Amino acid sequence: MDIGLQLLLNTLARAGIYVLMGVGLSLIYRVSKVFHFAHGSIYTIAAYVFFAFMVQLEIPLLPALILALVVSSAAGFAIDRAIYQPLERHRSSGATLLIASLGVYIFVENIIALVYGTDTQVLLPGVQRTFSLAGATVTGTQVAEIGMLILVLVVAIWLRRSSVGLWLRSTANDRTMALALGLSVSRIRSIAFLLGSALAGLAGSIASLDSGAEPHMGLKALFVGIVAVFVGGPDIFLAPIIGGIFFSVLQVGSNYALTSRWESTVAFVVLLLFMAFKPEGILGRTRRVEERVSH
Amino acid sequence: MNYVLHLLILIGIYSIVCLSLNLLTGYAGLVSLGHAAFFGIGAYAAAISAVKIGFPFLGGLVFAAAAAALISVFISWPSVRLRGDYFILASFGFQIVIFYLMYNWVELTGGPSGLSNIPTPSILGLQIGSLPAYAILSSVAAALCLLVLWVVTERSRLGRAFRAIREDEVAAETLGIDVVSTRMAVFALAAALAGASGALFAHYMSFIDPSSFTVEQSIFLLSLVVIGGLGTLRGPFVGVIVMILLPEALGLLKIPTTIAPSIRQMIYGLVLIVLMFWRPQGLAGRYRFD
Repeated sequence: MDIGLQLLLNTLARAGIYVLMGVGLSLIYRVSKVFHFAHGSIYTIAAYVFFAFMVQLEIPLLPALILALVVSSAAGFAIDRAIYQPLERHRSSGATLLIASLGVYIFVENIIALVYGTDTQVLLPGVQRTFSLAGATVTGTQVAEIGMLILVLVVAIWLRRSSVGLWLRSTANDRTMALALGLSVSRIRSIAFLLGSALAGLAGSIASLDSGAEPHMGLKALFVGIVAVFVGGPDIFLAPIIGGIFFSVLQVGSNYALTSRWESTVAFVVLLLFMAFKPEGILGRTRRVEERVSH
Repeated sequence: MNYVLHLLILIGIYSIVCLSLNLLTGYAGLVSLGHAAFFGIGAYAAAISAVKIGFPFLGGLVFAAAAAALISVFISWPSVRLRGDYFILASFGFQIVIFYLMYNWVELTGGPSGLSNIPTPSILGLQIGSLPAYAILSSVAAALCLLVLWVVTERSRLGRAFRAIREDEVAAETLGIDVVSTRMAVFALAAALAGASGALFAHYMSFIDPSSFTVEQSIFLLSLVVIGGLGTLRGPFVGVIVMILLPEALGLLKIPTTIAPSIRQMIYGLVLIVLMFWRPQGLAGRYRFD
């Protein structure tokens, strides 16, 4: 029936963005252990680069998107090489890295505001084209987002079974052991940052088609990504997907049942409930004491 | 002269906020991205109690602090027993939700238009209407806050407990310190102080709206505390002075006011990054996050 299909499509579209952010952050966080707050800036950078190429330089959509992805990847990689790794050589702790990451986020957010101002930049002027599917309506962007969800699922399943995926999971699980077994941890970390940042860039670019580009847009996206990672569980690839889908179901569901006013509150309360009662996440299974989330 | 008094008042109010965040982050080791939310809860609690219920100032102040402390329990209870990253996440989410509620719960908070006509405070019949009077009030409040924090951090069992936890959680537990309750207590105290200064802020500005209590504000407060210095009582004052002086310095450079806030924030961001390399404990701090 109409409402059911509409809700399903809305859920899948939202999940697309959540899952992109979740998997991207998961790759980076689980492999490098850095609380990469600046991941939110990558999202924003991508949207503005996409805007710059597609609207200002009038490059067609697909090449502009690819360029945005390349820039996002490079930016994430650069932040790791220029800031996180040097700090780690200084033997800085996780919190110090987080603060530095916050510094990067603040800096990037404001340099964008400086160059482009704080008003929202529109990428697709006018009312968007919508499609009708058995009584439900979706915008072109939502179709793209659902496409992204499927893409991420495919990529995640493939990764899980590939050697690259094995490298990533090994490094995330026990970095010293991975080094001892001869894995090139440095290269694996780079892959994590490049791939993870590209996913964030994809999320930012696609999302900006519907909502435009605005300097603070990265924050909500980052939060969603973090929640998907933490609530999903310790698995690198599948957990954030489960977490992202779970949260989009929650959001769309609470929108429908309680009006959109309570959306964030419901999400947050659910997050707290998870922390209180199931901190290891939806897919969590603690196999070692070191993996335990609680003390 | 009026402008100097205005700056002094703001220094007083923000010192209390920064002292409370330093208590949480510098002394107890809990990084919080949600402190502006408690500042806001205090401000709105005081404003609503004064405007809609007609509470007297001191009553409103206590109400603001108590409301903030009580609400803090909801976030600390699930998150302090988990790894630090979870607390950061919980505080971040909390900040987002509180801002959202301030913005959208229009019947209670006035929404984006905020609350206005917050009355000038009166203590025991004395009206604190003029700038000098308010400056005295905020300075006294800041001094009281400093005293309370000194007693708590240097002379109390709670202070020794959370400093022990900060240094080595496992060792603290073996000594019988209850990590969860200690952290919850510190968080409640920090929230209460932030709430109290929010009340001062609300009465001073006589108008509040959600834009003073955003995520960006929380990040800004955290950067001030980190820049000023963690784990000392002077650190927050250094941070607040940086916060007050930097815009003035930028003004001298004739930077246009439209871009000045962005330039300021960029400088804070850069300073944070540089400090983490060069002096992670902050300018006047003693605690490195190791």
